[in-house]
Parts: sequence; C-alpha cells; structure tokens
Amino acid sequence: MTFNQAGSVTRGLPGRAAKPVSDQGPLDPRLLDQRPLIQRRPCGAWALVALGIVFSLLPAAATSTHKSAGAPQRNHANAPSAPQHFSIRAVSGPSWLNHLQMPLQQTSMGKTGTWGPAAYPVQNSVRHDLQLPSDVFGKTMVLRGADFYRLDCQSCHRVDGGGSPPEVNSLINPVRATSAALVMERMAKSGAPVEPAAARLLAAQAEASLLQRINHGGEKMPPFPDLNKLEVQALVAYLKQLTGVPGAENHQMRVAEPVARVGEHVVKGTCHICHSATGPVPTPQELLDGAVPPLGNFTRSKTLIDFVTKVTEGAPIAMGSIAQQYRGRMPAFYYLHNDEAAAAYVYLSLYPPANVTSAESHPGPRRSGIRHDRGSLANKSAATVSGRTLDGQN
Amino acid sequence: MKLFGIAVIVLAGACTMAQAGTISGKVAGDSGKAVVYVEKTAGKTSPASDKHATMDQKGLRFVPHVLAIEQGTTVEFKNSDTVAHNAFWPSISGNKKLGHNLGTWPQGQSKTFKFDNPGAAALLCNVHPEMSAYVVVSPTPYFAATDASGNYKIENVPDGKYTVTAWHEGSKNQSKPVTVGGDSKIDF
Repeated sequence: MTFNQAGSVTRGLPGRAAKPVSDQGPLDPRLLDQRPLIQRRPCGAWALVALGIVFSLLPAAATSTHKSAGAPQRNHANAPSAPQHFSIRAVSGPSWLNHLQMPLQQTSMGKTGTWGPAAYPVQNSVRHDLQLPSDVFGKTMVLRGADFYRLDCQSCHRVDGGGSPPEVNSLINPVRATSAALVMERMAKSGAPVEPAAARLLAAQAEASLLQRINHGGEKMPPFPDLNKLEVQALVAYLKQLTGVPGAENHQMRVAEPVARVGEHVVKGTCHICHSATGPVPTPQELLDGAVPPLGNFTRSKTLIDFVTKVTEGAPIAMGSIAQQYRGRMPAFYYLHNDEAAAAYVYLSLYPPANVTSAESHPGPRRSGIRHDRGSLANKSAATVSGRTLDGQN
Repeated sequence: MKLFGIAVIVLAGACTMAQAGTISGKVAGDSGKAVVYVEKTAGKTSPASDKHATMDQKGLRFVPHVLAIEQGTTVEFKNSDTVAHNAFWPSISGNKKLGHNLGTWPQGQSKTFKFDNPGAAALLCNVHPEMSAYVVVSPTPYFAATDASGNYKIENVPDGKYTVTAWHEGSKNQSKPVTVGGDSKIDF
C-alpha cells in the first residue's frame, strides 16, 4: 500500500485480473461466476459474521502484492486490445454538493431513486439474510456499459439520460451528435443537408467533447478521471444505444472488474455526490439540521446488511436532540443491486476514505483539471469550501 | 450679387439635403426579426468594412437570434455557457461552399470569423439541436433590422436607384426597387 501525494491510497488488487470481454464473442466461463456476490442465509445474527469476514480479510488484502494490470488478452470482435489497469483509489475530499456549496435540499443531483420507507409504522426491514462469501476479494463482476451508466451516471442523469433540467442537463442530444448518420438525418430534415464528410467532422468533434466532458466534468458535473479507457469505451457505447444511435447495439461491451472496483464506481458515481469522504460523525440533532454523514464511518457504524438495506431499500434514521425515527433525506437506490451495494461496502472497507487537508482536496485526485477553467469558483477560497466541509458545518 | 450669394447657399443646401435619405417601412408577416438591406449597385462601391460584432451562446441559446452585419465584418462567437457548443452553418443563402464549421470551444473562449460573402448564414449547434440563429450579411453598409412591430429604418442612403431586399426567418427573400431622394417608404 502506498500513499500518494494527495493522500489517497493506491493499492494493487489481489485476485484475478480483469479482462475485457466482448458481448458478441465467447465469454470466458471463469469470468461468469453466476453466484451472486452476496448470498442469502437463513435468519440469524449474520451481521457480525459478515463483518468479521470483511475485517479478517483486510490484513490479507493489505499485504498482497498482486497488481491487477496486464490482463491476458483475447481478440474478440469488439474487445479492445489495451491491457486493463485498475488504479483503485480511495474516495477523498468533500462531497460534490459541498464542493459546489450547494445545499442538499436545493438540488436534484444524486437523488435519482425513491423515498425510503416511512419511519412509522415501524417496519422490521432489517434483513439478516445477506452474507459475503469468503472468496469475495478474488471475485470479479462482469459489467456492461449499461451497468457503468447505472453506477456512474444515473444518480443525476436518470435512467433515460434526460437529466433533471435545467440543473442536470440531458445527455441525449450531446450523445446523438456523435453520430454522423444522425447529424445527416437531422440536417436533411431541416432542409439544409450536409455532406458526409462535414457530418463526420461534426460527429468527431461531438465525440471529443463528450469524452472531454466525462473526463473533466463541467461546472456542475463531477469529473470522472478514474474511469479507464475500456470503461469509458463501454460507457460511451451504451450511451449511444440509450440515445438511439443506429447500430450502437452491435458495439456493446462487457468488462470484468474486481469487486472493489465495482464498489468504487458506486461510491464515486453515486454516494460521493452527497456524502463527503471524511469528517466528524454528525449528532442526531445535526442530522435533523441537514448534515450528511461522511462515508468514512459507514463500515464501522453499519453492518453489511444495514448498509445494503439502507442503499437499496432505504431505512429510517434517528434524528433530533431527543432522537426519533425519521424517513430521512437519502433516496433508496432501487436500481442498485444488492451485490453492487455490497461491493461499495467492500471498497470502503479496503480503501478507507482518505482524510485529506483542504489544500489537497481542491484540486484533489478526483477534482483535478476542473478548477482551471471555472472563473466563478476560482474566486472563492478553496480553503473555505473544503474547510467548511471538513469541519462538518455543512 | 447678394441674390447670387443667397442662390448659392440655397442650392448648396438643397444639394446637401438631396445627397442622402432614408428608407423606412414595415415588414409584415411572421413575428421575429427581419433584416432589410440595400443590394449592391453596379458601379457603386463602398469601403471595405472592418467592423466587429458579437454572437454569444448563453443558456443554450444563441444571443442575438438574428445578427445583421455588413459584408466584411468580423464576428466574435463567444461561449458564456458551462457546456461546450459546436457551432456551424451548413451554407450561406444556400451556397454550401460557404458553409463553415467553427468547431467546439469551452466557456470563456471565443472564435472569430470574417464574413466576406453576403447572404444569410443559418447558425446551428451540433450538440444542441434546439439552438439556432442567423447571421445576415448585407452587401452594403445600408441595412437595418426590424423592431418588435416590424418597422425598419435605413439611414444615410445616398440618393439613387437601388434594390432593397427583406430577409425574414423562414421566408423567401423579397426584393423591391426604390429610388432614394429624401425619405422613401417601402413595405414588405
């Protein structure tokens, strides 16, 4: 394990290396472990069992010297040939909303989901039926482009890509603009047809803009510099299918990824929009006043079962100076699978959220490259932005 | 002698008044801005324009929607939006050879283009199909855009015979002859 300058933990992954796999070509059966990541168990006090397994495996993972880069390659029809390299890094810095200095109640970002269950009548929703298998760290999960979209984009852009206008832009037209065929179709309809060469140039420019957007983010969109080339390729292929680009269904890809990497997608693409990486644990009164608890505490304060239930189904939360159960503000992310929520738990356990100083968090590992082109935020003091977050005052 | 002097002054005054006039009128029909301009007349040249104008992209719109400029004007295309745009025009008044792709550029930066050919450029953004605007390039310095009620006024047009053309979004250009000698009225 090494600490880089920004304070985040970089570590090679134990277990099998991931492979790019084509949706069309034959899939290596070893990659398709059909068992779900978390398994159902009869009722009982399995929470402690699950936790025990997670932490008993931590030392083994920490001492592992395996690197996940340099996966063996197979030439499938649609499989890119570049080796897969996963540089998994701990989540760090303030939540994206804190970074934008945007209160939770004033935004639709990160809120694609449903309400959690009502606090009353009390529902016995705690499930004692989930357990991580002992070989969880050696497992890989196969993700399609649609899965990358769900984990990295859907919490803001919604299932159809329409976003929440005007705050979250629709991605539909920017993606459709990457298709020369659609550009020609549109221009022909408008009565000003363009030549194929002109359409191709426009489409190429739109594609470059899209990739730039994913990597660097925008004024309100977080950047995703940690997505590797193959993941971006799979994601963009799905974006094209989602938005009706002709022929996109023939270019869908699957990528096998380590469990912690899947968790990294969930945490950075969904949780970190609202939850800061670290910070003091809010009191029940502070929760009632609007505080959002930091990610750093969850693997200590919650069992795997509680965590997965809270993420996928929602659960009441105790708030107020005389603590009472409330529905809470956190959406229930019905579209995240149990396995994916569990992967987030694994990731947060293996790569504990990094406690970075205000100077390091902006620009931090995730935030690099965005402050340079934003005049309005550049005028605000970075220390103020992140200082408030780290003090837990937001 | 005195009379002659007065006659000279009166004549000179009359000549001055007769040298330039205005063309005004109303463009009826669809709502939205129209542009009326004086076409080039053989034998009459006007000095090349070195004027500058600005077209912004703000709130996923081109601002202004219609920009009337003189031939030779350099237009600065800005981007005040937080998203990148990809502005282009497929043609100028149907001439595809004059189509141009400005490319993409981020917030705070701008691109410039010198419009050396007269006509209307339908400005589009490849990324945002709902965005549209027009740059109407007048071949002469004598042009005007209509106000909200469709009225226009072109001032300081030298006396003479001209053709005036009205451009209107979504309509065919209409041209009418006009003889300028003082104030002339032409409605479209």
